[in-house]
Amino acid sequence: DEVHWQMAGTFPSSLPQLGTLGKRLETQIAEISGGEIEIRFYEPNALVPPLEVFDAVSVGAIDSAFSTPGFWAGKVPGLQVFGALPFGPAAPEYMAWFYFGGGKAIFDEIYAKHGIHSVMCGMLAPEGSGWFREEVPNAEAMAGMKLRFFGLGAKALEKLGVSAQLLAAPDVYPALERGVIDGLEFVQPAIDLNMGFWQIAKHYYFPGWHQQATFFDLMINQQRWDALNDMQKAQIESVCGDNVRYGIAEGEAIQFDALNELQAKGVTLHRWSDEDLAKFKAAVDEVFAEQAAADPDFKRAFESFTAFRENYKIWRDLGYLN
Amino acid sequence: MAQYGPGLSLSMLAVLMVLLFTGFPVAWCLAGVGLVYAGLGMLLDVFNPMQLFLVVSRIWGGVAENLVLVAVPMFIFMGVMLERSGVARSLLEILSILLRRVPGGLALAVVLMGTIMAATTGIVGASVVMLGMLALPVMAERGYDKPTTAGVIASSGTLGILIPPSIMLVIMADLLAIPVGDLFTGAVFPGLVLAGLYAIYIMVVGVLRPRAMPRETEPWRGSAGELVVLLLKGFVPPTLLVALVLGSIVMGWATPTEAAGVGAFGATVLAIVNRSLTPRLLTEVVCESALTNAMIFGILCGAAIFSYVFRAMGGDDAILETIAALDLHDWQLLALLMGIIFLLGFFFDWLEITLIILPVFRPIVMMLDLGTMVPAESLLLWFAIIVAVNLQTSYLTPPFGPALFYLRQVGKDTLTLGEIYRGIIPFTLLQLLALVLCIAFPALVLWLPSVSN
Amino acid sequence: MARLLAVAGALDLLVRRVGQVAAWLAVALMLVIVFDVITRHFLVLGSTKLQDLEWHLHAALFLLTLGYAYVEGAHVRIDILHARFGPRTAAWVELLGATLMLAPFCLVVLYYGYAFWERSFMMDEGSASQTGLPHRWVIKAFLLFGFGFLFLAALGAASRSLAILLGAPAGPTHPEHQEVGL
Ligand code: NA
Ligand code: NA
Repeated sequence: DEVHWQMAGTFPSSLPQLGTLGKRLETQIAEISGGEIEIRFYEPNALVPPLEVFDAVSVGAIDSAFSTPGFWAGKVPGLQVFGALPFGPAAPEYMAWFYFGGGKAIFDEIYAKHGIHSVMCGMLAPEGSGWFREEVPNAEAMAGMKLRFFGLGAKALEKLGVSAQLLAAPDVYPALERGVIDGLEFVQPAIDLNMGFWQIAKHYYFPGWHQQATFFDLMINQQRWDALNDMQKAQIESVCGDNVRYGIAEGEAIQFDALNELQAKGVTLHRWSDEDLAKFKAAVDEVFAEQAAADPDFKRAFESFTAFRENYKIWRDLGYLN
Repeated sequence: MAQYGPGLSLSMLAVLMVLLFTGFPVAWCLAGVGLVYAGLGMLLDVFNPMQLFLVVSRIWGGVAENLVLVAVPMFIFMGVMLERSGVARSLLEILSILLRRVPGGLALAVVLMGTIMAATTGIVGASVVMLGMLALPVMAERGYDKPTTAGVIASSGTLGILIPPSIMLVIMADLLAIPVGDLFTGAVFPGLVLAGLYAIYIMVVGVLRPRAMPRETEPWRGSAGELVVLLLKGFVPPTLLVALVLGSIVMGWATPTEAAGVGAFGATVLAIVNRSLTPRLLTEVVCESALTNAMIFGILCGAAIFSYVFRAMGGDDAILETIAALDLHDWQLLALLMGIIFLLGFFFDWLEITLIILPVFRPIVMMLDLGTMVPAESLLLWFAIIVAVNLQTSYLTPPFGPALFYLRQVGKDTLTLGEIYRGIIPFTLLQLLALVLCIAFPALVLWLPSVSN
Repeated sequence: MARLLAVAGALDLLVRRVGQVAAWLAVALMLVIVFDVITRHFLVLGSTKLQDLEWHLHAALFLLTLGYAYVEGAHVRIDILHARFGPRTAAWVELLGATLMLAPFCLVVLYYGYAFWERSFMMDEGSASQTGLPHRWVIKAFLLFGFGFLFLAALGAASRSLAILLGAPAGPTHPEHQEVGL
């Protein structure tokens, strides 16, 4: 049977990686299935507001959605372990845990409780750590700053005295321009270049300790998934697997041009010192402990992830050059 | 869905038109048509009942959990408070004394206020309600004819969606992947050109048809001392308030959205200083603001289902297929696109239109060859701004012109919808003129972004 | 007929009182914004909770006053033809509109909204930003309250219109400029 699905996007298709990976899915699945499977990408808000897609897929109001598990921190905290973790690993180690280290089984179980079958379907390169109006000499200097920052990273920064702000989208640019906020975190050089933050904030910090590799996933209503035949399931899984490959390769390939262009536009690129990163890490570890205490699924997924990283360490230290 | 052709989805628009003229509230007509077509879709087996869950998703995610819209009740509160406490009246009185030799002086004052408000918010409903509250009674008293009054207020109130900061420009920047800052600077001159065209038109009408905008014939009889007192009373409080709202943004204390709350607070303080704030007045202000606010959000809730069902029934596809079938090139395509946006503006708000048009047209626009007029690297920016100018018009075009509804509600005792429809025609033509100017002279759009980078 | 009018009157009164109380949320919203702006300048508080509270207040404010605005006739109408209708035609419009468009819309929002609320309650949903307000189901319940009162307002309008069609004297459909006060 032919499949015609609607897929709600959570980022505009024009945004590199965040949006283009979802849009790419639409064309790839049509090609690989010879047109038998149509998964149509809809811009965020066209059918569903971005933060509502979880419920919408879960009840079957829409067939599928393209998003990242990290979006659902408020609903299903355990899924954060599968989106991106502060001080988490680079893509190969993250994928090793997910596909071979027990991650996928927990991921499937958590989503199944909500009537969703999800397929990992994209991966982003590391994020930038943030745009600042003024140079930040060290981590202590962030105390008292007002930053637009989300998620586990925001919780960690609050421990360092940062005041996290939740601004309406149209307010972000004027707020940064006028100094209501001192800085913000967005995505990665290739994407941030287009957003034009460089026009105001001239200091761009790295590495994005709060988000190294970021998984994106295709959430599918369980009943719609179950109705597929084996070939169709395999086609979707193959295209998504390929989308992960594509995301990593593209993400690595597009950053340096953007960084060079940003420098040409007068942006100073900074890298946090090892001492600063250690302070962020200490705060992050506190946050992890709190999250694990509050949510059993988070605890289970996080313990699986941590155990895998412990085992992996000997290989990482021996097998790689640095 | 496609087998029912474009007819089914497009017939929604016709049915809506008919129902609107029964006089049942606009908000619930939108909802009703959406429901009927969802039901029809279920009968034809192209709509699944569970899809109606998205109505709740859209009301919640798009209207309730929406930090920008927090500014709406605050600007309305500020407007009602200024009107009820007499602060607004003093301002407009003194303006009309000062501008009494200028044709259409009071109307010019409204355009000026609209432009200032536009720099603090992009929320048209709030601007129109506030300007309407302040200016309607005074303009009526001075004998301005009603259609002109309505046109001036509604069009000045919609400047906010174009003049930055503006939510529309932010969403467009996202959909087109261009920097928000460029769109903000690009929109400044087109916004000012538009305000300028309004002003010129008002002065021309003031000269040619003095009965539409009567000038003060009586010379000012008061003493210089009285004038100073009036000036102080009229100018100082509102100037303080404007300084507070704009100042809190410029000084980096508040975001544009928060500035609305700061303004509401400032207006309340002014009313206290003015000694007009009694518990009774406060209660009236609170209740009246809530009613106007609910009217605006009712329309947003109704539109949440109407535009979803339109899209789910293939309305977008119908439009896009039509465009593709014509197989046009460059200037023709641009003209057709502008025409479609203008026509869609009769029925939908800017968000729904940009969601249909921009993502699909982005690749096409990037390939447009407009000769030497618009350099290829600025094409998207220029396109976005002319779309923005065009979309501003959608607030003003009947039958479904939100700015007209908001004004109708504020002026329910004085203005009829017919008067509003009549009054808006010349201003809609001015909008089209501004659009033509931006197309003919791309530098209007592109110069400021080029020097500010 | 008298019973219909009494029902309509009671429903209107209930919806109006709820709206008049909820209207004061605008004052609370104003104070929260001013507090946020001032304290942010001088103290380091996490503002996310306050900013979450702002849209919570906004949501409760507009939801709880939708019905109030209907009772007071504040929802805008295209009255070019309506103004020329006689009282019976106007009553027909109101009866059909309230029963065929408004009430079903409310029921749809209530039906799916209950599922929407229940999901949030079962998972004790918190803020997506991690640093915001917990217990999203509290504010989501206002969706049900708001459309519940709007539904009652629709029933009230329907019974009043029905009474008029059955011959009751057609007073003002919407008693505008009601005595405001609590
Ligand atoms: Na604006
Ligand atoms: Na319109």
